[in-house]
Amino acid sequence: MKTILTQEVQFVEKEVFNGLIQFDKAAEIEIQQLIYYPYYFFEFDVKAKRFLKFEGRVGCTIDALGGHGAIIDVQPELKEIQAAHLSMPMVTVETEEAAEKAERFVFENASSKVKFMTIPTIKKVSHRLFYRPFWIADYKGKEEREQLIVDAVSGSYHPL
Amino acid sequence: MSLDGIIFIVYLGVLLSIGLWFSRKSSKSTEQYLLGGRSLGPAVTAMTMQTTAMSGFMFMGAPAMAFQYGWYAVWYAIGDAGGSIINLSVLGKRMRRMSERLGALSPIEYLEKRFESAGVRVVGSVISIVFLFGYVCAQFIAAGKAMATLTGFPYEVALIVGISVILIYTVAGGYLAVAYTSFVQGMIMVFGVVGIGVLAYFHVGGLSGLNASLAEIDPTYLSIWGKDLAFYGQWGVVLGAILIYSIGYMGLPHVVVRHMSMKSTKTVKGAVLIGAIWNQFFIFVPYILGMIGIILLPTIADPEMVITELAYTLFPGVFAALLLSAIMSAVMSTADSILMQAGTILSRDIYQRFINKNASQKTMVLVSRLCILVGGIIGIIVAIYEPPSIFALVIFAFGTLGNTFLVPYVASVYSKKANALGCLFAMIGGATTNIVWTSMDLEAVTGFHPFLVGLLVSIAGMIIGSYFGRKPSQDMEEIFEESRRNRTFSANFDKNITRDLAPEANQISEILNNEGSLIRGKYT
Repeated sequence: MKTILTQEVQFVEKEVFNGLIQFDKAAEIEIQQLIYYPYYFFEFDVKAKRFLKFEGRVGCTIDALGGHGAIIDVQPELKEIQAAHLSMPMVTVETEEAAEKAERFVFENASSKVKFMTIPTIKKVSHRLFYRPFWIADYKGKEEREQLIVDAVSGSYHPL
Repeated sequence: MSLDGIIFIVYLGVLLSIGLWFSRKSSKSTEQYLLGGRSLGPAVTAMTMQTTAMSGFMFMGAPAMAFQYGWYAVWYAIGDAGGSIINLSVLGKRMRRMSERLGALSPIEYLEKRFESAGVRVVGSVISIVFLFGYVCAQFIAAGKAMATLTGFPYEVALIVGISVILIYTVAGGYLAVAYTSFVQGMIMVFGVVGIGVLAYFHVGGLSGLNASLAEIDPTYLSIWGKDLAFYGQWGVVLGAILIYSIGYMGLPHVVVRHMSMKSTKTVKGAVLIGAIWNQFFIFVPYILGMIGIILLPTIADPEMVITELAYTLFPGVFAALLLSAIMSAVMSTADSILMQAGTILSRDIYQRFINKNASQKTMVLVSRLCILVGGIIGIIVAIYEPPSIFALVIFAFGTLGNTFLVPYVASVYSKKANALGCLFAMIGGATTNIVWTSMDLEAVTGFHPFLVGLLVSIAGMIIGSYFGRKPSQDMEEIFEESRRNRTFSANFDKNITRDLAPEANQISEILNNEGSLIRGKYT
């Protein structure tokens, strides 16, 4: 049986329900299932020569289905769980492709945001594949039924 | 050097020290990443947003306009505040939905994907760069004026000193200015402007006192048509004034970088909302201060210095110098981020696309830095030899931007037939008209604001181009139809959607549509 790395669910069903209903008290909300969405996590050492020191680590994720990058704030806390009976889509972005995307993404972000005149050097320190839990929820307001995903780590949501 | 000049140098020194301290701290942290922005609490986030919104235009251009025309100038403020209203409107919602479907990260990339043409991106980028350099030039002029007041040097010398400071600051502490230094600056500026606002407001006897005094000097200051009824009955001018800001922002080439929090961030949303409300409030204050200047500073030589002069009149000199230092820093951080953006667009959309397709990332950064240097030098030359008014420059820049992008944006979600040729005609026609109309001052002859004429030409361009051009692909027509479908969320629910999750939502939606269900326990 395969084990995978995941982030822990911070928002359980009841909290997700309360979180959504606070924005629309009249809506009918139903929490459906939990799915585990795959991401690559990359850590880079970034250095740039300037008057003040700019040196440290930058973390990013690459969505393993669409290849979109995101800058992250802290190292994710991951735990191993058994993959049986979990709903999770198949990974469609290969590790090498993800690594290239991550490097480009971090480089572009660092060179436009950090504003140093010299070119930053970035070096990959680590990477791993992990899964982030999302809830699928149904929303019904005055009219049609809509579906949403709710991030079980941050509590943020987006319609499908 | 004057005491004010010394205060400015000490102020910059303190900002750099704060930056240095935090940069050392974050370099040592093994758990927290650089650029991730987690260490910023809600108060810092809100204040940082405020500092970003404050620019040389706000402190110098807007009050000068109000000083010149009275209440008429508030039309521009209404348009500025209206940007967020448009964002919440049907147009805003449809654009957002389509942008999510297309996976576009910036407004210009959105147009490229919607109209399925790289040419659209190139033309959009070139026009944006012209706008950005116009805008940066306005910041340079503001920096020169602020430095001249602080140091007592002549404007030309002060301008060069000011821009040198911008460059040193960019190299040395640009990144640091993004976070905690912005907080310190934001605090000084917010308290400074509110302080001046409150003191001056009561000094003139509130709004009714202000209006009574204005009426005594010249009743037409109170008119919505401008002093001496300069724009009487010219709805074209008024409409242009309102539309410029509300639409101009859409053309800004901001690239949205996705951030993903690894821990719960329930508080940030509130901060962003508070920040947005603050911004709305601050849009109007400089215009009111400009009108107060008509009463308190009737003989001021340069109306762009109304806020500065009010600070020196109402505050002790040290505080006024501190406020001016903060304004100067705001101008610096606006100027350097605009230069950075322009450099990035030039290297990515022009150099890599047309000159060197296989350019390495390092070459791209070098090209972008060179562009910044060249742009900076041109900016200095214009600011010294032909300094236009900050307001005129910013209005011209925003007007060109609005004329380029308004019609393509509206057509992108309202017209299924709108295609690449239409988009190109609309962009080029709109921008060219605005440039010609403004430079030849045809507004004085015709009574039509350059923005309105540019808009009409742009609409004609879109209709003609779309008639003759290639039809949008079937995929695009499907995406168009999908984005027209109304979501039925309540307004509050819709407002709190996290747009950064759009790519995940798209993927999951596709999987559910294709397979009916997710793969369960695939790895077992």
